[in-house]
Amino acid sequence: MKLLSRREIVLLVSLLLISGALFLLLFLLRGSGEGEWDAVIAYRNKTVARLPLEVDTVYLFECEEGVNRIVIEGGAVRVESADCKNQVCVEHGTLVPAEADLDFISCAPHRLLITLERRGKE
Amino acid sequence: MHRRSVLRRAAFSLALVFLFCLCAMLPSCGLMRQRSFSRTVDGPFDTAALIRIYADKEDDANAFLDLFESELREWDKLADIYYEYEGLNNLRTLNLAAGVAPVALDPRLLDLLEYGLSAKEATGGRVDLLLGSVLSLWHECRTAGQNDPEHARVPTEAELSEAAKIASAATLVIDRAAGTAFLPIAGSSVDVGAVAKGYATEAICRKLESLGFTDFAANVGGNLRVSGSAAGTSWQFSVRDPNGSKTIGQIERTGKTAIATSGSYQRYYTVDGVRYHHVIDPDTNYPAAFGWVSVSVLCDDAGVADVLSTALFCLDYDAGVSLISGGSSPVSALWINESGETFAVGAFAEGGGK
Repeated sequence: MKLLSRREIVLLVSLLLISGALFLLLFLLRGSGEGEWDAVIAYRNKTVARLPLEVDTVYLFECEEGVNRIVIEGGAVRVESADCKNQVCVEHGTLVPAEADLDFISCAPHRLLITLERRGKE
Repeated sequence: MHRRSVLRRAAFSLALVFLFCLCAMLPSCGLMRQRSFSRTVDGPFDTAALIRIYADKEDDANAFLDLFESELREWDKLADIYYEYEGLNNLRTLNLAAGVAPVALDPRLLDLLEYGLSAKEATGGRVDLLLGSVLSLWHECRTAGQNDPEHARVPTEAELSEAAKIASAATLVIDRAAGTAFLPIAGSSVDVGAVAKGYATEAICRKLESLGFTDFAANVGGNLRVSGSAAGTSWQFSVRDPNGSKTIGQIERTGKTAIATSGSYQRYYTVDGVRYHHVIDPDTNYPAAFGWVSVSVLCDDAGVADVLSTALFCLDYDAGVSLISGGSSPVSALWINESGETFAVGAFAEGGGK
């Protein structure tokens, strides 16, 4: 006596195959959606640079108001030093993707704003 | 026969549960997720703003961002006490007409002024929009001191006592029927610095919610307000320790939530090695000296959060706790003092802190 008929076996295998395909799809999509962030540097409401967060780098932002040394390190961005009056941008510390929805670094004296955005999705 | 049926059911049930679980995971993956659209706006309220919305369509997102930005710029002009704009009566117009004549104002501005008066009452005068004469003295000295640190000075006792005399006599007459406001005492002035950003943020968010927009967030110079969710997940709020730039309070929320922070670390100037910040205590007419470097307030209204964060900055811990207790909707607060100690009530206490 068989426990499952041929038809039932086909149905079960199909269900498992669909599940497997879905799992693979989810795995691939999750993999591609994470880790791809850019630090977006804006001056006077205009984007002047997009820097990939996964590449450690130093970006020297220069404008007529002054200079900000922007550092990308370990998947986070920060202003390491600036010749602005209040140093609020430096004291802000690092900006990480987990806080990107609501947080940004601002250097009001230099009219500089730094935000994080998902690459290609915004 | 019975055993076969049980096994068959079990096999199919397991397969279906497996499939269901996978489907439930779909919204959290990139395919089903709404996209995030954001914009930074530099300038309004002498600060910067980050506006974000999660949406399916770019057109909807841009409509939202355009509306938010234009409303924010409009509010900035209305509440401006330093500049005049052609064809617009704003708070500067009102202040310049003090002791002279009532000024016709936009109904939204009358709402803001009424809100400011109620905030003064609710905070026992800690947040006082009629303190303009005192605040403008400090503002002038701070701006001059920042531009020319060598000649920085604090207002003299005589200047402060004269300004305080005017502020304590000041009244504001709002005539809704005529659509006007009037400061009867010459030299008196309104300053909505502790009210306007939060109030405007709340007003804009409510307007956009009434138009059907949801799943958005705004950070207007530290006044945070969210609506709905971030593509099905919670919004992450965090409060930084100004002493060391590390994150202290972390809170996850969905739905209408607001946070505002008042701090001594962003707007200040230095005279003879002493730092003078911008939050003025109405009792002393000097920068509030309760030892706080930052006070954050979380509730469901950005206007309330803004007012309360300033009020708590001008109170000790116990008086602050009693001010925020017993309201109709829950208020959470996080205080950080000069030694880096934190004191928390409500959601902040649940998420860490003392």
